[in-house]
Amino acid sequence: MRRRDLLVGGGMALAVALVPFIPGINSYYISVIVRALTFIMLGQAWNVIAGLGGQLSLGHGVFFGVAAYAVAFLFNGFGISPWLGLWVAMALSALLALLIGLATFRSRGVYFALATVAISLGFEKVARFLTAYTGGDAGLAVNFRGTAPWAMQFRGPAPFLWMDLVVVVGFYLFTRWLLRSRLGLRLQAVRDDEDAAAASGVDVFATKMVGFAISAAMTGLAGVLHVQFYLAIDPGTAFGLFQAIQIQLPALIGGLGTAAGPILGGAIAILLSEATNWWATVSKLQGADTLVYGVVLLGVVLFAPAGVMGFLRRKRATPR
Amino acid sequence: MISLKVDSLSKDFGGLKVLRDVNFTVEHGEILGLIGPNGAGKSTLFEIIGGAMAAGRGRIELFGRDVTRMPPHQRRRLGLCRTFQKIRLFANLSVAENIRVAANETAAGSGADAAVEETLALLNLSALREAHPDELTLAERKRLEIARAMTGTCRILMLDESLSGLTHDESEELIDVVRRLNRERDVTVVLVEHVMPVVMALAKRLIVLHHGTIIADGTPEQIVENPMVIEAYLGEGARA
Amino acid sequence: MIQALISGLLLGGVYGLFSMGFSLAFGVMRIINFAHGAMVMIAMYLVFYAYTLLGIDPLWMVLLAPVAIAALGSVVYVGVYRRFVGRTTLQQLLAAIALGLVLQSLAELAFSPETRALRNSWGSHYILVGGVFLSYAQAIAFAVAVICVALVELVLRFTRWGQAIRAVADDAEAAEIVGQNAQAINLGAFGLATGLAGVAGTVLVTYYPFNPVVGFSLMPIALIATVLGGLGSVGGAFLGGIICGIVQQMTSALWAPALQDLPLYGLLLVFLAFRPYGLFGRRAAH
Repeated sequence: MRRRDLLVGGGMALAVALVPFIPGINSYYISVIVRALTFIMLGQAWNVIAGLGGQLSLGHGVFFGVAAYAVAFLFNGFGISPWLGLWVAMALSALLALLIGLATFRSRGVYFALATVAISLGFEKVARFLTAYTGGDAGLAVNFRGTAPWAMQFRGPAPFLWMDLVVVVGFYLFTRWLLRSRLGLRLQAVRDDEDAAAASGVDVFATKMVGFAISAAMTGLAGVLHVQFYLAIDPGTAFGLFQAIQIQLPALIGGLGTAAGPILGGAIAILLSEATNWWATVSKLQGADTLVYGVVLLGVVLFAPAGVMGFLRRKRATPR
Repeated sequence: MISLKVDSLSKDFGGLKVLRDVNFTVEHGEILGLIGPNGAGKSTLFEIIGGAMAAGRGRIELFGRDVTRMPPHQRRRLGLCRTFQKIRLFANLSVAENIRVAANETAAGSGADAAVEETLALLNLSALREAHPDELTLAERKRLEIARAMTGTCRILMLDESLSGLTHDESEELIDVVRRLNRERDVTVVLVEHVMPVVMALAKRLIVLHHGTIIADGTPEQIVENPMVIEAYLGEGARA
Repeated sequence: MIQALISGLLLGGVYGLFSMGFSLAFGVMRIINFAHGAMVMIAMYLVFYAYTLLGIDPLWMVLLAPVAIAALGSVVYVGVYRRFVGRTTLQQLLAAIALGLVLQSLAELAFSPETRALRNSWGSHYILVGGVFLSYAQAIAFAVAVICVALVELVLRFTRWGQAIRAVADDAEAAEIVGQNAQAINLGAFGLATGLAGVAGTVLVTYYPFNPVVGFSLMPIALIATVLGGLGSVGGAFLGGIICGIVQQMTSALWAPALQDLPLYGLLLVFLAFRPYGLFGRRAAH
């Protein structure tokens, strides 16, 4: 790792970690940072399969939702600590990814994309129906225990900020490692040209499966942290299309297939989200927030497909 | 020793018979040229041997092993290496990484690093190791594709028009590389080519495919004199 | 039981109608138009306001709405999809989703998110045929759907334009060499595809409650119907839609209305795993 990256990244992480110690800071701002970190985490997770692996998972919310429901259900129903439950949740997400992959990775990429959309919408319907387990439309509230570290519950948002920060840094380092690793090289080869990858000895199917499972487990971890922070999960938040799009924004805005892209993009996306929430509330216009998301997504896809990182790289490359 | 055996292979696409009962064997260490007019079935045959397309009827044997149902990546690990008619590189990976993808899968353990370096040197790509495919010339891209194909374990190298579309010097250079691979490393070579001088310079044996069947199999001298070949192919090829 | 079968068939006809346009856009241009449902939704509002404000009978709008939606589709094609023709990429899928979101939120801003229903003179009539209740509106919708399928199939098979569309669908490069202006043909095909969304919206609004989100909520059915029929096949998508309608209504009657879509997702997975080229499609050979 280059020294400069280490200094910049470490400095940023430290600065974020120290925010809760600012005297008199409003816990609202800490909560916004927690949301931003969740955003970034989801972007990092999606980036593994979509950015590195080139597989168009459009219903990634399903892994977020399954993990969130699983950990809440295990805690409410059986008193199982989320510290244990998160492993079950991540395993479930990965298992689901393997099942979807098993059904679709042998045919053309577009089928995979369609399947992920349909499955995530299917899960939303099931979650609304299985009221006894999921709380139906209203969702599931995690039993509140006050500040209880064993239950991953805290009264203030600061502990979540630190936990999320650790995960984001971990995901970043993982992505950097992955980009150089054997698996990462396989994923990128598959993304660039499946036939050429196979002709080079790469097991295309297995590579997609492993990449998808890892990405799903990472998304699951984000789902666990989300449900512990809000202590509630509902079908729309878990599986809705909007959630799936939110997952895609950070990596798209920041730059697909890069380690730093989702972090940059996530920071931009949270500002966007805060601004649109504020606008939607002030203007009392229903749909204003989704309109902004749609326009930004469309703009990025049409005019800046390489994201902010692509822009930075170009700038760095030209004056040389 | 037989490296590759194609045994009564047939393939049709919705009634159109592209290959009918194709039989041939390739001996270890041979340089075989596969020629024929456009639409003769060369590409289909190539894809089926490589494993990218399923065989209709018949068998493919590699080094005495039935690989008819084996996926392409496993054939590559056995040492069956190929290029593509339309060059296909990993666009977002550097030259060295392009080669490394294949070296990782086929060179044992830590041998991958060494294999990449050796391959870069052999194909005269060392200076371009950090470059990306879109920064390369056509000749360099063809060299890179051959490099990726032959790195690590390579026992049969199948080249799909990899030597055509180049200047005389560029093509001489690649012909020399292929010859060295064949001599120094015992690599069996199967060429699909339509540039006759290249085929004649390299191949010791030619197979002529026409309308999905083999109409001739012999030395270049025999092929040139074969009346069926002259009618089916050289008549057309002579103009080009 | 028979009641469920019949209403499934009638509903399925309309599902088939909007799945056809979706499948056509993929078949010709390899474009997955996730905004297809949003176009159905806009057609629904158009017909609704034409009726409530101007008193135009929805049946007349069968001719007008498709033209309006096709015009919208052409704008969208030129502005967004044109650059993606020929290859389904991540960018194309995302652009389509973004477009759907934009149309949906614009509809929310313009028409409010509340759910409405069109109440016209004949929309709620029922006729009793052999012990089975037939909704007048559903029967008309089905008839319109069948006529549309027949017309589209005839156009694709027997007109020069239709044959050109099919030629481009098979091989855009070859068609270009032969002298077909692929861009113009694509534009026409996309107009036709979105026009079909317009027809679907028109007939659907006569009996189906709607809101701005209805477009996206219809998309899973379109996806499933299209996969069942074979991605890119127009007639296949129609039959796929009918299967979806029947399966849905039978599940609703025999099991639980809330789970009516569940077997469809199961069907989708089975097809993706074992018959991705659909019921009638052939394994593509390239």
